[in-house]
Amino acid sequence: MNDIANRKYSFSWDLLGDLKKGRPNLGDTTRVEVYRLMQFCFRDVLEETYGTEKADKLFYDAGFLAGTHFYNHVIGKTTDLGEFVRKLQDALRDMSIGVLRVEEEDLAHGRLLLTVSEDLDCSGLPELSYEICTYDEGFISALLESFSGLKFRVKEIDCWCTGDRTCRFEATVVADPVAA
Amino acid sequence: MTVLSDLLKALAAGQVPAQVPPDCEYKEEVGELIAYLAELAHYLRAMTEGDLAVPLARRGPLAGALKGLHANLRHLTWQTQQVAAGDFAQRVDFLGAFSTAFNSMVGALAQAREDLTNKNRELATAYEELKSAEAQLLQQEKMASIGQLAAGIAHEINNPMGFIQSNLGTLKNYGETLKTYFDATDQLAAQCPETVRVTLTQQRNDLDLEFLFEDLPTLISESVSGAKRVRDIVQALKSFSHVDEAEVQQINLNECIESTIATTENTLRAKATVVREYGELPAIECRPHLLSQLFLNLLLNAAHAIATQGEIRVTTRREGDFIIAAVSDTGCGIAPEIVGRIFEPFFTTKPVGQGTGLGLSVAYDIVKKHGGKIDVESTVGTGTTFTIRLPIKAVADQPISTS
Repeated sequence: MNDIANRKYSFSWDLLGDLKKGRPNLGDTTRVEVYRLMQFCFRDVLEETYGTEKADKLFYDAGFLAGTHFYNHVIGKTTDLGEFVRKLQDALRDMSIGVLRVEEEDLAHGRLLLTVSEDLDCSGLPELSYEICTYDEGFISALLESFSGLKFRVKEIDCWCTGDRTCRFEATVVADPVAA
Repeated sequence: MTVLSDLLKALAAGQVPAQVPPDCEYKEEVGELIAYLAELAHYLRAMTEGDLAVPLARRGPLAGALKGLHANLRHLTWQTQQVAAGDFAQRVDFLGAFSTAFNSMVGALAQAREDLTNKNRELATAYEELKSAEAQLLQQEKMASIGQLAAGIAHEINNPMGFIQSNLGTLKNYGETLKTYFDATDQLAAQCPETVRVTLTQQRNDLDLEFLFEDLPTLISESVSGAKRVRDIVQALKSFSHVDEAEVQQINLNECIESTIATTENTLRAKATVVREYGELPAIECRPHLLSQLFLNLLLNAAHAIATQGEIRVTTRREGDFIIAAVSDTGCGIAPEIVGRIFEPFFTTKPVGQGTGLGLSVAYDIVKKHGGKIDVESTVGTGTTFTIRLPIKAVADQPISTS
């Protein structure tokens, strides 16, 4: 069991720091390679330590945590799907994360099909035989849950790494939240 | 080699054979290529025909690029559905010139909807104003008709009332003279022979003269009182029809109200504390005695509404080219079902004989004649506020009416 009471790395938005103050010359952006260097090194170490399945779950959960904070601090509360998508598209584009599209929307039946082009995590990666954007899956899941109040399971079904040029995510409402 | 060469030429020309030609080298690889191209062709054909539901399971850079285009088209479909549902903030940021055209169209739709909403709002406002104007017109016509009728009645009643009151005074004198004469004859009768005295006493008793002389002053007094009441009503009718008009003057409304309060202070003091909240006011163009009458009626009305002890609050303030004056009381309030009738002449909730039912209709008429407006807000059990809005200057096209 983890010692929850004495956690060292509990995340809060303030931990992102005051970039204007801290980086007056270099600014608030960095190169994509740096981001990927950190992400894929993390992935390597985590996989080696915990195995592939556990590493993927850790990335999904980290994405979920990031998505929850991202919704609260960047998107903001809204109940209109059109407005939510628009705000999310703008934020993802403005922060150079990716280009979001809604391919299919059937919230009445708890299903959404989203695509992200020029994805920060994977676009331009060598072809692999599997989808790699597990962090994005958790991130999108948290965004949808924060917006709708419903638990979503998000699965990437197409990825740059599988030869596609657009990452495609299928989001489905989970009847049993434990399964999410 | 010839077979493979022919196949490659056909593929380069865009022709995908249905199956691998016999005797073809690399049969398996060529078969895979043909199957891949056939799937892409099927996918493209469906997209060309507008069927965006056909999936493409194949992966790879070529399939991926097509799926990217497919995703954009499906996103465009979703955006169009959003626009159809009224979300005019949707903007397309791909597909070049089409995006510009689409965004312009959505912008124009948004503008058209806003224009339509504004027009609808303007129409609704105009309709409400029209209804209000119609109601005011009807009310004015009704008041004007009743005003004419009141003036006629006042005139017709005034003439007979003149001689009735005069005759009652004479009749009272006659009664007193007769009583003097009767008392004198009574004294003389004492000196007459008994037979005469008995006869006179008998006749006096038969005619009940004692009671007659006792009752006569009461009858005359009651008639004088009744005649006075008729005269008061006629006077109120004259005020209502404005038979008597004074000259237009410039006065300070606060002073006008203060002098009106002074004239009725005893009545007001018995029922309420009068609180004054006077604002800085410019001189107002008006007929002062009519405005005094207006505030007198409102103040008395407020006092009558208070059962034991309460508060009457008088406030004034300037609002642009108008003066706003309000008279509030903490009285019994007016029931919602009769609030619409309180300005009607002869409408009263007071017991018979205690109110003419002309006070508020006179007030209404005075305000209208000054080109102003009077409103009432009332809550049963809490109190009533009459708010008057009077123009500071009588404008040229709406001078203070004289009839």
